[in-house]
Amino acid sequence: MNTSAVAVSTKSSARPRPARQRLAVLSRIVAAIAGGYALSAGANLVLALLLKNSGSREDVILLATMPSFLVWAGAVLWAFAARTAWRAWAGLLAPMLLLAFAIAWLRS
Amino acid sequence: MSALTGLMAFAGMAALALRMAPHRRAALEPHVQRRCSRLSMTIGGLVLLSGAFALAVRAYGWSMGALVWFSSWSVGGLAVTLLLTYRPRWLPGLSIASVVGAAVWMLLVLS
Amino acid sequence: MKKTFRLSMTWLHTWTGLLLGWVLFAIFVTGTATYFKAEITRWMQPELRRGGTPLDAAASAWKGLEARAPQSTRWFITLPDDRVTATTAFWQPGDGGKRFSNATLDPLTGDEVKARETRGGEFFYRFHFQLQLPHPWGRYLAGVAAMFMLVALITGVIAHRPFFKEFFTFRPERPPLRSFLDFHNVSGVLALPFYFLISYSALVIFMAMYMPWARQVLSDSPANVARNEAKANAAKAADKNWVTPAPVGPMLDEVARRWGLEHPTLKRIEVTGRGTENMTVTFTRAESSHISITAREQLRFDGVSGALLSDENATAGAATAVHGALYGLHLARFAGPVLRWMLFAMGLMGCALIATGLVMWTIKRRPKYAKAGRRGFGQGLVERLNIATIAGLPVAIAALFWANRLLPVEGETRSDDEVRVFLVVWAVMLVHPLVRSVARAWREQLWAGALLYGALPIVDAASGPFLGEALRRGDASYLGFHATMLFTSAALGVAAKKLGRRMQIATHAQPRMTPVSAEGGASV
Repeated sequence: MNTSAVAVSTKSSARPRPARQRLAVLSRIVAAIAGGYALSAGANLVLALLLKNSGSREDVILLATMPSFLVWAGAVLWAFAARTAWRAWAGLLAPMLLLAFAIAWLRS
Repeated sequence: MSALTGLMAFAGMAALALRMAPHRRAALEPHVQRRCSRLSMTIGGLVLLSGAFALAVRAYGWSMGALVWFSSWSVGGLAVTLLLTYRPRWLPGLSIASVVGAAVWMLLVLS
Repeated sequence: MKKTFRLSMTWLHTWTGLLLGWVLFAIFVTGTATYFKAEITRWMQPELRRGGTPLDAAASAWKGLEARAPQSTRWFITLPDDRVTATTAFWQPGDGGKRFSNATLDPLTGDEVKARETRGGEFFYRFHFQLQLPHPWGRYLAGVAAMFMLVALITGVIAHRPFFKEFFTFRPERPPLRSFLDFHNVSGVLALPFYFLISYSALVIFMAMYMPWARQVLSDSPANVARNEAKANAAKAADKNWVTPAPVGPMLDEVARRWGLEHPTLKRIEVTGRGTENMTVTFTRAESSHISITAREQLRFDGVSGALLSDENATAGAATAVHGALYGLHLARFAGPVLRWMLFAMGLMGCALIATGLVMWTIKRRPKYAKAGRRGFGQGLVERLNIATIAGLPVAIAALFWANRLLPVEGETRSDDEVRVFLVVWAVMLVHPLVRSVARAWREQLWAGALLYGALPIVDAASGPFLGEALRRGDASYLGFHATMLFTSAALGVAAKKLGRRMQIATHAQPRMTPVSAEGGASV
């Protein structure tokens, strides 16, 4: 264990945290859960539409769905690794936008 | 066959543990420490673990073999850890015994 | 989030692990028990007798179902083997209702077995992914728990990275935080591939519920809709006149000729479209050499003519193969005794991993509150939930086993009563730490578990002749159950004793922050 880490955590949680900091954590949690799920669902859809003709329907569904949980896990890590909450959201929204365009294009 | 893989994986994990300084001090007499170099422990451990892998794959095929193999070293590693904690001096003897046991068993099975 | 990437990941590891840690612990305990589902059922229904080969059991089950569900269109039959004693059958009622009926059948006669009513090992299996919650909430909660576990695993590897320098190290004599961290690391790293596979495959098993979007977007196409409608109409039209099925005898002879009578032979029978022209009978062989649930060996017969059908789905895609392997890996039906015990051991390591993680959270924060002279609400809550889960759940499970032996054998609502005893005892374990001090509650619940498990052989011997018979027969499965219970008792007893000693030391020593080495582990 890292002694300095303990010192930091003890100090920061012993005094009340500023409201802004709490709000940022909350925002990251929402980004991780809702944003992460939206991102993985988007990846799920795009993969399914891209691979539509590359195998039997069942096989394509499985192929498109299995990696989506890893996408979600990656998004959760990103949401808490990003330097600020704003960056966390930006890093999730940008690929989401990309996926949304891809879906619209693939379905048209 | 998975028991055989388990024995070899246990011995392999034991050898890998005995290349680490604190565990060497705990498990080996000083004169043995000098005779069993860390390099030989490393090589021995890796050989035993790869042998266990080869055996498992030969017996069960790739996917099942891989499962049997990593299960063996997980459980074998737990046994090594507990031995090092409570009975460190038993570890060399038990791992030699399991290698010999595995060899005899293999001769019986393969002959 | 925090100053460095690793500190951020450590924070995430702490909170994902804590938030669903209790649910995960319960899932891990029941899941680990499920590896021995058949043996648990066997102990909980000791009246069951084994007899005949699986093929004999298939013939008598077929006869029994013809009498019991003559109008039904779908049957599922699971046959006994080396571990399972009785035949289980599910069937869809003839009126097309969606709810399946089920029965446990005697392998020799095909009649419903005369044994005490219990859920047996099935209770652990169901609890593992449904958590006694109304459908589908249990499965969603289990899915959330699996996702949290996946994140906790990845972040755990990052947070505890320096541990790899301290492989094989466990120092129980060190201060609690250090020894718990050691064990958290040992159990975490050694079985890491197992945890990754188990949490990811858990998500994959129910992914149609959690991530249904690909399926939806691909089924929207008009061609699919039309095909499904045509299929439904055909089924409806076919329902009207009953077509007499072919006799099962010749089919079973063919199965016996191909697979033999000894394990691995016939394990499951699925009958679909019974009474229609499309009736098929699918025989599935016991898993023994394949992980994948899709790589199983099957024989399909035309249910009307009795002719063997050719295998049509021989070439499955790569994704189907991976999915089948992950699914099969999680269920581990293929595992022989040695591998099964190894999986069981890794399951126990998982329980220990979660338990040590949960306890460390509280130990780490104790000095802070000791200094402040008060206990925070969160700290108190976590301490108490830890007790009720880690020590309380084993007590509740022991109570379930006691109830199985002590409730009247003839009771009609017996299996529900057993579950009720389990839930009530668990609720008591939740309340108990509220009226006792934390340290006392830990010790009392651990001792209660040790006593309940330790006395189980006595309860068994006092409530029926089964233990004596098993001893005489040398029944490895039955006696193995008792051995495992005695081991559990010993483990809980040792934990209680150690905790007691720790508390004595703690009350005499100065309460202060435990100094720990800078290398290895992470702040949790």
